[in-house]
Amino acid sequence: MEHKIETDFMIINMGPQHPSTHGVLRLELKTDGEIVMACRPFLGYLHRCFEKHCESLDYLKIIPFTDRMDYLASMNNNWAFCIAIEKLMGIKVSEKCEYLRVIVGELNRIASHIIAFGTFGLDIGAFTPFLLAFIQREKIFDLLEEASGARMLYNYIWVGGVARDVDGDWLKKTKKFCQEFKPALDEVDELLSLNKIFVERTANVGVVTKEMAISYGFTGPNLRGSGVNWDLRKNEPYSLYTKFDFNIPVGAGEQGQVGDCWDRYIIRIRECRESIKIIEQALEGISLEGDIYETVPKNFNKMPKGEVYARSETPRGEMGIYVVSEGGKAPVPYRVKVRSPAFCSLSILEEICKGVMISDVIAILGSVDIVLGEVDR
Amino acid sequence: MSLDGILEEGVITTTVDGVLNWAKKSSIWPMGFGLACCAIEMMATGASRFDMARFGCEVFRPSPRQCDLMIVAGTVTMKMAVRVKRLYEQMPEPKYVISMGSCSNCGGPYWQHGYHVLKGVDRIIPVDVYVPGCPPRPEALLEGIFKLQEKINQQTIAKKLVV
Amino acid sequence: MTPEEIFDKLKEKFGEGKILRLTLPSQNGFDVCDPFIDVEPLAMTELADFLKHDKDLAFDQCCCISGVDLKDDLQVVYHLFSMSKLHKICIKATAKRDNPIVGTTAHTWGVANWLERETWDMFGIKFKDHPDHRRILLEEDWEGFPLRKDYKFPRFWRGMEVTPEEEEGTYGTQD
Repeated sequence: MEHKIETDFMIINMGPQHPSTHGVLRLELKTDGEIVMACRPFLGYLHRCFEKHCESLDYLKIIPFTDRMDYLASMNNNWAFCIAIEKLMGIKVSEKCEYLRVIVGELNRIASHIIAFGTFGLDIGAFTPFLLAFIQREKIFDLLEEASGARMLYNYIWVGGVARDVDGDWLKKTKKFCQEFKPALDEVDELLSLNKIFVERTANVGVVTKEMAISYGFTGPNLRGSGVNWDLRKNEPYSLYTKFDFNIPVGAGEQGQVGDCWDRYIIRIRECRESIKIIEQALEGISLEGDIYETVPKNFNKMPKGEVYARSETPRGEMGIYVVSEGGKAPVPYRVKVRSPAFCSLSILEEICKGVMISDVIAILGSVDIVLGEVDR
Repeated sequence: MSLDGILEEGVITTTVDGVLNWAKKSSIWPMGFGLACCAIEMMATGASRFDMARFGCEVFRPSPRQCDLMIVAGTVTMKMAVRVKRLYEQMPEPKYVISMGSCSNCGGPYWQHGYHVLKGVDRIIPVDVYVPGCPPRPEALLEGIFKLQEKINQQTIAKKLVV
Repeated sequence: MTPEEIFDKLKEKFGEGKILRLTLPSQNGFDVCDPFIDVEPLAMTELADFLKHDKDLAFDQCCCISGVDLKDDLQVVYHLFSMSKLHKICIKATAKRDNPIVGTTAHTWGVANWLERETWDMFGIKFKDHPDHRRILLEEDWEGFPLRKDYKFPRFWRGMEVTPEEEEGTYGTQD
């Protein structure tokens, strides 16, 4: 870009207290007028020492801390951690528990995507979709509260099982919710997706190419937004995901280039529909007979010596848990490392924020959908 | 001037304290300042079902210079504590603080092994109302705001001069 | 490719001095593990370049970089995955505790930049030729590296109490 009028460079600090940084992220923007010349992110304002806690607490006590890592999708975090420990201990979880995990996991995925596109709209300047979406989110919370006992941080999925059983009534309510949710989502979709202002603000903004996306560790909806057909639920199936029939929405550059903010946004809307499909199939398949505590280990005295890296698909992408166990009677893990999807996705910011307008930084940040609790851990 | 006949015309008498406090408590402007998990519940309190606007405090301002109330929603880490203090200092008087959730009350679950977590936001700024919970439900936050309104209602100018 | 084939290919290219050994599940005292290859820490830069750009290996995705404190040594663990070939491998580089230096991979994978900075922040492992070698989560004036096993919690930081007095001594210890 060629400038005829010379302006002074200005350093602007965005955050850590800023309504559209989705938490406590600080960006140092070097600007030339309205154009961002360089962007340096500063993290760590929510570093809560998760990995240090893991080295001091035993396996079951860690699960509540995983809740607080990515607080928008606690179920999926619980699940990711439990998958790692189950892989380490060689536990096969009973089918009923797997069904329950799929249902609550997908419900939580929808709740998380609602926050993602609700607040994204809010950042761009659309307030109504946010309010409409939150009505549905409260309904999901009612369901999850009835199942687990908590509104937001559930501690529901345990190693080898789930914490509490559900009854037929709950299944009926969930089914009713699925039916009600579809038209409500369509309403938000119609209101926001093809809105002229919204499209102008997001299409062709923050384009991430396929190669860049893979190199910078994009996963989940962000990676699919860049046109890569990759979903761990399909490509590396865990739990019962082979049983269900669902599609993987992939960005195609309908409003602009492949991998722009609009693509990343629309993936989330479409994924909600796929999640509903999965839940409906799971509700058909689940049988209420059987003990949920059947495969829950009595104690953790016989941990094998070794290490595992287990990954699963959370709403923000691939969450990998690397656990090192000393074996024997050691009640605590030797080391737990979380590969957090939001942390990896955020690292691209420095790269794609060069030469964009200041207002586009907001759009890019909103479309990447970060949760600072997970970035800083 | 005599009051005869004026009262029937719809004039209410009150104290200066009463008017000031009524004005203060009925339009508390909180700062849109979220730190962690509790911030999401704070958002939910402001959104569809719970709707803080019913109690006169829905105008979330992005700038501390336009706020009366700071809701410290979430874990205050060491790195953030410096900022929280600065934000508090930027707010104009009269200013109030609600500490929302266990983390900002006392460090919460990060009390023992959290080397980077401040053990209670009251170590750096004065707190008016503590809301317990991890995270507190939106109803709990609303109750916290009612308690704050009660507190504001008891303030008097006279007392302030004595102190 | 199987882990054995990957190991042979790397050994052929770099020699035994740099590619040390391959561990399969239930070998070398591990009950459970993903197959991993021990390598020389300073060879990591050229190794990463080869792993990504070789046609048969094509490890285009760097899933995770973790530091591990082995008490005597410090270790960096790389979990790599190839989206085109659908195979994975784990690479371990073990460095001496008194002067831990590992070759950087930030020029190969974009995400490695931040993951390596995090490892430096938490473990104090230096990455040779890293383009932006700063702390990432903690402030620059923080003392010590928190995830090392011998880390002592500070009493104060910038005048704020990190360890309350009544709890001093019990912090950071295991129950």
